[in-house]
Amino acid sequence: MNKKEQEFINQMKKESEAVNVPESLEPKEIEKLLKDRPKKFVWKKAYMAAAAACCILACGLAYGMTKEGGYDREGRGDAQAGTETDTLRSSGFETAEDYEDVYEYLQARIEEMNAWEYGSGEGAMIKEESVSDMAADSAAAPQWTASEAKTMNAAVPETASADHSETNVRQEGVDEADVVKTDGRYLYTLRDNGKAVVVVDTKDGLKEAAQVKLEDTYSIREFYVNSGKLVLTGEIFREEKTKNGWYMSSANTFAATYDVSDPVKPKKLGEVTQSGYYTSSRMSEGHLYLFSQYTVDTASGIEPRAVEEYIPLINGSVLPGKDIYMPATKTAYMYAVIGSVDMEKPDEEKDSKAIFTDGGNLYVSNKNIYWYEDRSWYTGDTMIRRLSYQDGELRAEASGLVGGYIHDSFCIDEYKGYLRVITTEKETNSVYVLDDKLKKVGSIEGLAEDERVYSARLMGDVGYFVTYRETDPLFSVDFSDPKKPEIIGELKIPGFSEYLHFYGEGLLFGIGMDVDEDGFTTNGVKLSMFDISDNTDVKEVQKYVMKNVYSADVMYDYRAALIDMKKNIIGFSANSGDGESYYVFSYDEKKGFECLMDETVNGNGYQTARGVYIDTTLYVVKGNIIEAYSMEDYKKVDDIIL
Amino acid sequence: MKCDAEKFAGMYEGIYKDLYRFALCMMRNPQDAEDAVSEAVIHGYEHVSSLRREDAFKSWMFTILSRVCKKKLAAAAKKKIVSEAEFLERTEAAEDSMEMNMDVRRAFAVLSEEEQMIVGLSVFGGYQSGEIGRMLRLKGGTVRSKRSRALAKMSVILEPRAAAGQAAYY
Repeated sequence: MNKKEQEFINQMKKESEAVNVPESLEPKEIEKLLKDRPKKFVWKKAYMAAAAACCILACGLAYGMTKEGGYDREGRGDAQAGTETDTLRSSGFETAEDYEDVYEYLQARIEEMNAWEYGSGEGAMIKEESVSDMAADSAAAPQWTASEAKTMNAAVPETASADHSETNVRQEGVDEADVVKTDGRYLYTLRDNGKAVVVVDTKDGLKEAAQVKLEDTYSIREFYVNSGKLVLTGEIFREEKTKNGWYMSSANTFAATYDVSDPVKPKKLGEVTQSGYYTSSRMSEGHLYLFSQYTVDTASGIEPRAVEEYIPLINGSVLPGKDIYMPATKTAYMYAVIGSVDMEKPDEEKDSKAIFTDGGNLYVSNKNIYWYEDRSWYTGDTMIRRLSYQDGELRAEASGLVGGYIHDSFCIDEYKGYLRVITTEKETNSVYVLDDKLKKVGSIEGLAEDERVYSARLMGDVGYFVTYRETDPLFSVDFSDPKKPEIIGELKIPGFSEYLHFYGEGLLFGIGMDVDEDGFTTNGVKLSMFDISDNTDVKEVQKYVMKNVYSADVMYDYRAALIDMKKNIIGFSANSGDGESYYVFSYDEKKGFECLMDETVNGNGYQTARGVYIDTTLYVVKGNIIEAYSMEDYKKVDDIIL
Repeated sequence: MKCDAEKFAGMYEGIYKDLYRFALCMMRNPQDAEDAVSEAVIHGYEHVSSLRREDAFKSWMFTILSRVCKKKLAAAAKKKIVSEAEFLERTEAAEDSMEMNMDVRRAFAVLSEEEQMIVGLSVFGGYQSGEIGRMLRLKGGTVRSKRSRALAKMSVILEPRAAAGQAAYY
């Protein structure tokens, strides 16, 4: 942390000192409260010995590692650093021999947790009192009925689809879910309560046309509209009382598919479920790939025979051991579950795998799923695993390590069988090229000391990335020889870009923050246009600072961007002290960025706003309100409250 | 560690103000902050036998509290019982009862939950990035970069006082 940051933190601490603590939290009151409570202590070790005995036969290596003990009680970082080779030994794709194999790892985790930590079992542990109002909520709500599609005004469907925008995705050809979609005539938007997707007809004024509503236990996170199908993804929640009187809420991820060839009459085609919270999904060539994170309830303890308590369930069936990839660490408590669904058979998962993980992120290329797990804070590296996914068949292909951590999915990119990765490593930055076995074939290390990567974009043989501390170097990398990646350009400007987007021939658009020369005080959101026609001499040709605008959604979620070169528009919502506004800019070589629209975003809720267009109308959608603007003059022409 | 209510309260005395201030920035409503602290205290007390060293008490309690806050926020978001309008109303109503500098709280409000957690642990726990990483299961480097970005965002709302003597906020 630099000195300015430390001063700022001290300043906040000082300015908070006047806060009065409620009387009930005074130490004397707390003491009284605690005196009346019994102390609990939890776990019995009997299962451990039995499981360990079985496991000597089943998994020599895994057992050996586990026996050496879990993490250091005070900080697993230190313990881990000393045994890095052990960690690396199992960095491959080893599958579980059987469920006892899996149990062993989980049990080690329970031991470790009881040694020091607050339980982090699946979902929220909530005190009994606070659950009662939740129970009341669900009692008042409709009962468990089959998911129903409610049809409202019937209109004649029109198949002709107008020119319209698509969700801004990471990888061309790999679709991503979002909270607003359009098919060229209808707008589909997720209700803020996550219980329904509303279909709105845009023809002759905005009208609600249909609604796909799910049961109360469902929570829709995002959805697809693709090839006449609406696919909803999210979670189904369940609550249970555990042995020690706490309430346990757990979740299954679902994907529910509807036929929307007639958007006013959605018909349910099928549904799949898999254990854990929804993390993400992709759609490619007629298959859906569903990702969830399943945390085993190690807090309540597990029994070896009750496999459904600790093995992921796919559509209610236990996943076979051969589809479970063992952890690289010594203990485990969480899986990344990956399922594929053939959109022609939306009732079943075609293939499913589970990887033990400590949390990770994904990048999906046109052929492979890369699951990358940042372990830089204890081993200094990131583990990358590659699974191929052709036609819904998931296959573990390779795993490898790169130094440092990966800022976001734009810093990892597959091209012609090679994976290019940009990382921040300790106080410097690195570029790696890995082959299909994820073995390093080329690298540049030690770039931009004391800075870190803020954004990146790669296309073909050339990549660009931004690091930042006080100024913003935009690096250009030549990847044409995978064994010898080379920095060919470096541009230094104040501020930094958080998202980069190619904007037609020879131009790269960046959005980020403008920062004073002191390297700390921000002046507002900044738009930059870089001329990249000469890779070795990149220039910032235009910039625009949005004073007092302190953040834009697109800096955190690329799907919030509406960027269309044909129409020459850059749209996004951003926040200032006055609230949220939707902005549209155009770009001209001479005039630079021109603000075409700056309108307050209405609508409530937690969802970030989206802009989509159909023909010459821009729709700004947030939660329950859709507002329509003519793209001729950006005047409001219509709105609807859902 | 053997620990009765009296001893627990004794250790708690040294940190409870910071625990509460942290919870206040996370939950932004005094009632929820109070609930979070008492829930963390009860959980801590029930599991105190697993704490081996007294000097780890503070970071242990902050870890518990940050998870309680996270779970409460997740439960609230899941239930979505509070509409944004209600939320603002509640926050405003709560302002009278709080003496925390308004700008500090406004600056917290622009952060994501994770950023609030990181900055909150830095400010009220006095922790460095590595320790925060261990508490939140993030990597030190990630904590550093997230914290820098969060502080930069906050600096738009709450201007850092560059030099001593420029007491703009008193």
